Amino acid sequence: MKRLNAELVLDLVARTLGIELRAGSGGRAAGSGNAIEAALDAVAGHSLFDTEPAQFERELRRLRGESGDD
Amino acid sequence: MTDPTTLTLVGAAEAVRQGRLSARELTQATIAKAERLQPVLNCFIHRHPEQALAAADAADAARRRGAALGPLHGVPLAHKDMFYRAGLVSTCGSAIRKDFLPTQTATVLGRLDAAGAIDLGGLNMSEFAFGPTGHNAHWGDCRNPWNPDHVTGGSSSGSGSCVAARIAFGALGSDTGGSVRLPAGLCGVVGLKPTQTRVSRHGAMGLSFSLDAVGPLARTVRDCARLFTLIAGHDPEDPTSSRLAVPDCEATTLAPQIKGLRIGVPSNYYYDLATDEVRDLMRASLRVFADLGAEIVDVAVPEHERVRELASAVIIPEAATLHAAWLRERPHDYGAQVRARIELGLSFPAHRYLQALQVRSEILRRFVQKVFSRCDVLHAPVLAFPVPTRAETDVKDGPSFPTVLARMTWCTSPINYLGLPGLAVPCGFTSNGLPGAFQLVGRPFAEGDLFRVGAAYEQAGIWTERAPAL
Repeated sequence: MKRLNAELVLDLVARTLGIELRAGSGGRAAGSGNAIEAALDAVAGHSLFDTEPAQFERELRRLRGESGDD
Repeated sequence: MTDPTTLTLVGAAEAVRQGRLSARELTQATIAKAERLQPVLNCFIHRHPEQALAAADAADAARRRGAALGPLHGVPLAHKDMFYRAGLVSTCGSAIRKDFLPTQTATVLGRLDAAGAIDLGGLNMSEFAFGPTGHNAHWGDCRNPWNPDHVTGGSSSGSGSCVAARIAFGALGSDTGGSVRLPAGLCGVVGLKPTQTRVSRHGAMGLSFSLDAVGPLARTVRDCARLFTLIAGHDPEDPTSSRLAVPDCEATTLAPQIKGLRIGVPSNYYYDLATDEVRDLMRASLRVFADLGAEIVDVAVPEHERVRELASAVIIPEAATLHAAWLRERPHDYGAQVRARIELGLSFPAHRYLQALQVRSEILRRFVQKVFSRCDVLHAPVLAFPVPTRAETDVKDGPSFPTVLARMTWCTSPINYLGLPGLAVPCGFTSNGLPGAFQLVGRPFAEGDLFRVGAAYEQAGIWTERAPAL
């Protein structure tokens, strides 16, 4: 299956939003996107509840060990 | 009489409290110094000397009538120009907001006001807090007090420069990828990036909702601890702020003991870009800790290259969301680099953004288990190389900008994704005469531990007594 070119996608989205892009933006998006895609492909999430700020705060509190004070 | 601007924040507060110095004398001295150094350092975007002096007179009157005095009574501070104060312009370091008049006051400013602080004005910063060097295309670059040809670090550039130059006694900044720790470290002052959710963000300009953290910069660890203790804690106006009680962190700095404490030295990632000079500074600081009784242990940090990318996966789309309307309506009012960086987020896939948030807790768990099972505090450079010049890093949106920015934030940005606290502490100078600094990273909400360890180091050395010759 062919993947959409990141440069083309950025151009399409910008046009949809009515935003004028700077020259070279598409190339930069492709460059940074590749590294991010690779990092995300290497990890697996559990629940979308984990995307909530309150859930992350609970995790921070759980991991604080002996520090902090309720 | 000694120049009052050379006092520490705690010393200045004590002098006013005891009547050895009036708030007006102290404020006048800082206003005069700000006036003299503005052409050299460009710390301020705007100053409010009349309001500051009026507040100082009110502080002196309160003392005369025997009113209760707060822990910052009559002490002049100044803050990154992105903390809103109702009725005063907050530019956010941008042209787009050069006339923006907030209708509300940031909770952190309100808390400092309640403690008796005096606000000198809005400090220079990277445009929309999106830049780690301190360059600013609209308001001019802020300059490093140790050598104005060199960068201050950003994005809280004015906060680092102003405190290091002994103008304000402390300042607030914000840290999304290193924006408190970098200017603190590069200007030779102490700066804290608190645990995510520890400090209210109400009334502070946002860049990345998930990673932004508000933190203080000050001349000493104890000064920084006092500011942190005052601003931290739950705020009903910021529903993401933690309800966890805030201990008196300043107390941990008074007679700090670290005998038996395990200080972790990363065996991977943090030294990948480190020069020999920075390695030497780090080793020297670790020797001080060892002499104080700490145990130095090697620690492998898990999956950090990935963590850097995950941080980008969060920042880029969140910044694009906040800026989409201005990108459409006023694209030419952005600096070239900031616009180029924000544009990257426009087409970032929603499912990838959510995935980066979804795995954050799990990655934090793995980090805490692997690192803090072996050590109590992690020790790493703030910047892996000597402070560069403004010319070397003035890359705008040229082809080298992603590399230059990545190198600047190499040691700091992973900590934001992990949500952990990080304290930047100055630890000497490299051969170019610019400061070097280490950061101490702790478990969530372990700011008190970081202040204790930082204070132990500081009290064993002499770095905070050295000030730039200006």
